[in-house]
This record gives sequence, C-alpha cells and structure tokens, in this order.
Amino acid sequence: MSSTPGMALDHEPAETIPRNFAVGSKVLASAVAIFFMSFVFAFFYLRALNTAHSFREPHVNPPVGWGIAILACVLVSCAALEAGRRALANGPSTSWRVLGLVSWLVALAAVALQATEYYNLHFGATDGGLASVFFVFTMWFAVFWLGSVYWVETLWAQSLRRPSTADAEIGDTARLLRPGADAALTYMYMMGATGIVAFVLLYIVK
Amino acid sequence: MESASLPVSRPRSDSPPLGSLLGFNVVSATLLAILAYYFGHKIGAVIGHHTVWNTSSDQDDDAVLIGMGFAILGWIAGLGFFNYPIGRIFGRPVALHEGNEGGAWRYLRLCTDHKVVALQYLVATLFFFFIAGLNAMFIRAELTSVHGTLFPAGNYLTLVGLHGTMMLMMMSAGVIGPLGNYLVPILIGTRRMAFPRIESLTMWLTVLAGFVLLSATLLGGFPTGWTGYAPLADEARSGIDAYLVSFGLIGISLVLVGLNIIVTVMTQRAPGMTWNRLPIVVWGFVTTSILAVLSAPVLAAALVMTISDRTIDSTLFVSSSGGSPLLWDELFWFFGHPEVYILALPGFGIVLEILPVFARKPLWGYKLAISGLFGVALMSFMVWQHHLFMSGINANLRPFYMFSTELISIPTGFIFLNGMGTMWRAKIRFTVPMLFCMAFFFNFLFGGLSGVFLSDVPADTLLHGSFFVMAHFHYTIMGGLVFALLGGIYYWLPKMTGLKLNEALAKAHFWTMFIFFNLTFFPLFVAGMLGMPRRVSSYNAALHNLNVFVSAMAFFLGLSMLLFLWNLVYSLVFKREPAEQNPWDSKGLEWQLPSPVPAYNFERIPTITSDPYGYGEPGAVPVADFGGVPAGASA
Repeated sequence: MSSTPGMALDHEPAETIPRNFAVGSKVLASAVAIFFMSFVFAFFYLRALNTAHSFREPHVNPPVGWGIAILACVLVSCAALEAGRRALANGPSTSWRVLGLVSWLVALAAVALQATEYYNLHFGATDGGLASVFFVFTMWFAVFWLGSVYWVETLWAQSLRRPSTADAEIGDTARLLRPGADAALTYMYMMGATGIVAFVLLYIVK
Repeated sequence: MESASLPVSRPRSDSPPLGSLLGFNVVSATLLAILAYYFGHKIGAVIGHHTVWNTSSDQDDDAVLIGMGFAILGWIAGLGFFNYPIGRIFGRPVALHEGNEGGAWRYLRLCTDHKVVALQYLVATLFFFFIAGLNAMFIRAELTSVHGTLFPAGNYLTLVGLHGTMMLMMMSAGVIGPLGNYLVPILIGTRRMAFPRIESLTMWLTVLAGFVLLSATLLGGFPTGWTGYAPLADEARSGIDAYLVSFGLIGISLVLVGLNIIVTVMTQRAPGMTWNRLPIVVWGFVTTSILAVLSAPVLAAALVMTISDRTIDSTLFVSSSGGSPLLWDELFWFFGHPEVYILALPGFGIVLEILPVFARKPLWGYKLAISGLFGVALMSFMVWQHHLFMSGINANLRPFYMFSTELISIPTGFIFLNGMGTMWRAKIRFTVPMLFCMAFFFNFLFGGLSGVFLSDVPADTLLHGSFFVMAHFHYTIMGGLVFALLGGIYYWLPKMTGLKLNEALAKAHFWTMFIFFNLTFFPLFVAGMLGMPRRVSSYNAALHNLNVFVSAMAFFLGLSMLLFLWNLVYSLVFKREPAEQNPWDSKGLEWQLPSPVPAYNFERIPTITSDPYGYGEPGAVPVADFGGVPAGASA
C-alpha cells in the first residue's frame, strides 16, 4: 500500500475491494484447481496400476461428441464474458448486457448438456476405474461450473440496476462491476482449462 | 481531515428480543436443518430404492447423505446466509456488513464483525474440544482393564475415531478461527476481514461439522479412526457418512478461512505495515492459510470419491474393479501431513509473539522465524509418504521420504532458535501466558525428537501402529499446539472480552496440566516400545499396571482442564472484573486499543511506524501513529 508517513485515513482506500476481488478470485481458482488435480492424479494412478485389468472396460467409451459440445459451451461462455468485460470499460453498456446474457445462457447450457449426457451413456460408475473417474470428475466439474453460472448472473443482474449505494464504506457499487467481471473470469478461465484437461483425459486418452 | 461518519455498529440490547427467535439465527437453523434432514432422507430413500446402482450395498447411504446435504442447506438458510446471495441474483449491490447489531443476540447468528465471529469460534471449538476430551477419558477408562470391559470393540473404535477426528477438526479451526479472525485485522491495522460473510460462514460450518460428526453415534459409528482408510470406509455402516460429511465441511471451512486471511493480509494492511513489520503471529496465520488452501481441497476430493463409492457404487478404492485403496492413502496423507502443520504453525506464531513481551527483549531472528515458518510449510508437502512406509510403497522411495522427513526438523529448529535466542539472558516475567509458551518448547522438543526417530524406516517399521506413535503426535499436537493455544487465550482473552481471568486459577491450571500431561504421555513412549498397539482395547497383561497409571494421570489431566473451564466461567460470567487496556505492557498494536476493542477497531486507519518488538531498545518509536485521534476514541 502506498502511504505518506503520519497520514491517517478515515475510510479504507477505494481500491481495496477490487483488490480483494482480484486476489480472492486467484486464491479460490487455485484451491478449486487443486481439487480437480486430485481427480487427474486418480486418473493416472489408477491407469498405471490397472488393477484386475479393469481400469478401462471394453465398453467404456465416453462419447466424444458430447464432450466437445460441453467443452465448447464452457469456452464460448468464457469468451463471451471476456468480450463483455472489455465492453464494460465505459460502464454497463448494451453490448455488455447482451454478451453477459450470452455468457450466462451458454454456461447454463453446459450444465444441461452434462446432465443429458449421463442419460445417454452406455456405461455406469461401476464399470471400472476410468468409468469411476469419469463420473466423479464430470459431476463435480458441473457442480463447480454452476458457480460460474451464478457469478455471471449476479454481475449481469447488477448491471441492470441503477447505480446504488449499499454500504457507506463502498460508495458507488457500479464501479465494482468490472473488477467483479475480472474476478469471475479468473475463475472461469481456470474452469475452462480444467475442462480441456478433463476432455483430453476422459474422452481422448482414456 | 475530518472524520467521516462510519457505519459503526453498536449493541442495542443485551437480551435477545423474543421476536428475533423467529428470524435468522441458530434456533431457526437447527429446526430447519432437522426438518430438511427428514425430507432429504425421504427423498434419498426413494432415489436409493429406484436406482440400479446400489447392488453391493444394503444400507441407506443415499438417504443419509442426501438428508445431510439437505440439512446443510437448511442450516445455512436458517442462519440467513442465502439472503444476500439471493439478493445478488436480483441485482442487489455489493455490501459488506450484516447482522452487526443486536447485543448478545449477534453471537447466535450471521454477524460480519470479525471480533464477534472470533468469540463464536472460541466458544464452539472449546465446546467440541471438551467433548473430544471426554471421549479420551472414556478411552483411558476402557484401557484400565486388559481386555476392555466397558465398551464393545466396535464402540471402542468409534470412540477412538470420534476423539481423533473431532480433535483434528476442531484444533484445525480452533486456533486460526478464534485468534486468526480476531487478531489479523487488528494487527495489520484494518477494520474487517476481506470477506466478512465468508468469515462468518466458516464459523457456522465448523459448528455444523461438529454436530454432524457426533451424529455418527446414532448411525452405527465408524471403525476407521480419523484416517478413514479404504476399503474399510467403503464397507462401513452409515456412521462413516457422518465422518465424510463433517470432514468435508471442515475442509471447505479451512479453504475459506485460508482464502480470507491471505486476501486480508495482502490487500488491507495499513499504511506503513510493510511485510517486514508484520507481527510474527500474522506470519503464522498466513503460512497456515497457504497450507490450508493447498491441502484441504485434496481432502475434499478424496472424501467425495468415497461418497461416490458408497452411493453410486463407483470403484475408485475397489481393487477388484480397477480402483485401489492406496489411492485414498495417497490423497489423504497429501492433506494429512500438512494438516499437522496447519495445527502447529499458528502455535509457532503465537509463542514467538508472546515471548518478547515477557522476556522484555526484541524477537530474536525475525526473518529466520519467517523462513522457518515457510520452510515448514513448503516441506510439509514433501513428506507424506512416510505414512505409507508400511503400506507397500516402492522400497526405493523410502530413503527420499525418510530424509525429507528428517530435513523438516531444520526449519522447525529455526523456531526453537528464535525462542531460545529471545529468552537468552532475559529478565523473564513468569506470567501464565509465558509459562504456557515455555512449556510449548519443552513438550514440542519431545514430540519433535521422537518424530525424527520415527521417520527412520527401521524405527517406523518396528513402531508403526504402536502407542509410541500415539505419544509422539500427542506431544506435538497437545504438548505443542494446545499449550500454545492456551497461552494465546490467557494472553489475548482480556483484550477480546474486556475482562480479567483469575490468575491463581490460571496458574493452578498450568501446573496441573503441564505435570499430568507429561505423566500421561511420556509413559506411552515406553508402552509403545513394549509393543502396545493403537486402536485395540485389549493388550498384553504385562502392560496392565502401566496402563492403569497412565489412565489415572489422564483423569487428573482431564480435571486440570476443568480448572480452565471453571476459570472462564468464574471470571467471565460471575466476577467480571474489567481488564486494563494493556495489562502486559505490550507494544503490540492490539494493546494500544481499549479493552474490549471498539466495534470498528480504529477511529482512523493508523499509520504503522515500527514493528512491535522494540522492547528494551532506547528510543524505540511507538508501533503506530493514530493521526492525533486516540485509538478507539468513539467507543
């Protein structure tokens, strides 16, 4: 923090909350990434052991088309929010509202596709190591991705409101929209990267 | 600069208004959680009945786990944690404060005042600490006879599991929760934590975790101890579901506490609070937080894998179907060993913070202490395989993990050097907090040295699963962390509550606890050497007298803790003698504020001008410039 010796401040500096968002989102993304790295570890560990030659049963073939569709939704949602964030440079504009809505709807579609995929699989969680990792990884990916869905929606909803003050310490909360979008994007990029890893391991490498 | 009006929250009433009982508070939360569990259980039973995957299980895990999931949601909703997030869905702007008004009632609901949260944490963790201690008394009572007559073997295992899990869970939260949340904002010169609602949420999740774990006794108990090993955890009765959910809640809580502390320290330090002036106890909390954020997610992942095995019949830990029980061992201990340091590091910080105050000397080797804390934190991720020496790991890996485990004693040794250097030729004031800190070093030395001994593969092979290991970790965790925590409580509680603790009772507590702790656990090194196994209620008749002696000492140790409890009740409830602002004559920033600290901590954000360790230095400047406004002037 920059400071002048002897100077005392009545309020915390205005940049504190945006900095909290920025640092907090990075720490959160790191923690969630480590959570998913445990599944990556489980994949390689069980694949290497291949106990009872049952890591990959012959009929366990996750459908690549579904995987591509889910991953595409995740990445498009990230891209739309990135574009929307840039549009926020001059405040909540129409293009932000459109792009934010697109990001939210596509993010929601990813979860819906994941749920639908489960009904179209020809194997279950009991069918060996790969099938087990597939279910636990994709299920929790969908759960954590729902966090992105919520986050984008709150940003979008906030931008529809007139600037308002909720707390004397914050002042005008509209100025927090862009730092909020930055923070959401940090989390979503991490989820996007995790989605790519999951796709490669579960649908391609097997 | 004129002082702007601040949204200072002031208690309006000390008695909870009757109408508030219907609002968002712990009463509503409890009722909602119980109702939600009932409905969740019903739904889970229907799902479990209509699905094809429960082929190998004849239990109602789906019902229990979905019930617990619903109960968690009910608990959180009843406390009011969903109000703000739901408001945000409809565009409600960001706000920092919630529930800070209402006098004593604040302590029973969501409150964003970090000092209230800290006291909530203290009461909650002490409550569960005493329950876990009671379990220890039952365990020792059982071991007074050679073949165990008080409890059936399965119940004895559940007792051991409850004791271990609850102690680990509550002590993880027990230092960083009360003291971390209370001290960090004040010591860095800010008014709040970075994410106050998350701070409060972690507290209430910890409370729920404690009750969920206790519910294991109603669900048939669990046979795995605190380590939850597969495949036993896959096959155990529904009590293990309580273990999985409660440990998961603590994992989430730990990550969020860590996140909050890291962000707060990184972004909200007062002007002049450079990294080199950060109090060492804050460094202790920061390193602990880093460990929590990096290790607890792995625990959470391992827990959801077990839940998956128990509900949708995945085979992650089933070696006949492409899984492996060793996967659990790897993931659990990747968390489990850093967990030991999640317990220890704040203790290191506390003792190094307190020592200079009573040695009246500056902290010796401030930067060495920081490197020690970071060294321990870093190395704690490189040693976990020593827990698997006897689990069939590749023999070529053993030497590496043996040496890495031995090496971790070096940064730990830095902390000892700091302590000894600070006390060297000092005119020590033997106050109660100081006594606890000195006992920390004495006890932790035994714990540390026996740890180095155990890290050697030949010694570990011989002593694995014996009472020697048990004595070792009780010397590190109880002898180290719990003594440090109690020292911290005696030191900071007058600031937190504004009330004095009775010194005679405190000294009686210290001496009885110190003596009976050592008389309880030192003989267990001998018992372990003589082959007494852990987690088994029957043992060789030749060890009977030794066990009777240990049990008697353990009961006295338990009584010494009742002295502490009585001191808290007597001093804080009955006598209520106001504490002075700075009874220890400390230079710490917190002691420049009134006791108790006012609602908003600082009238003006101070400018930090020095570190707080300038004892005995002629011309040492005050720790902070309060801008001409006396600290807490508006209190």
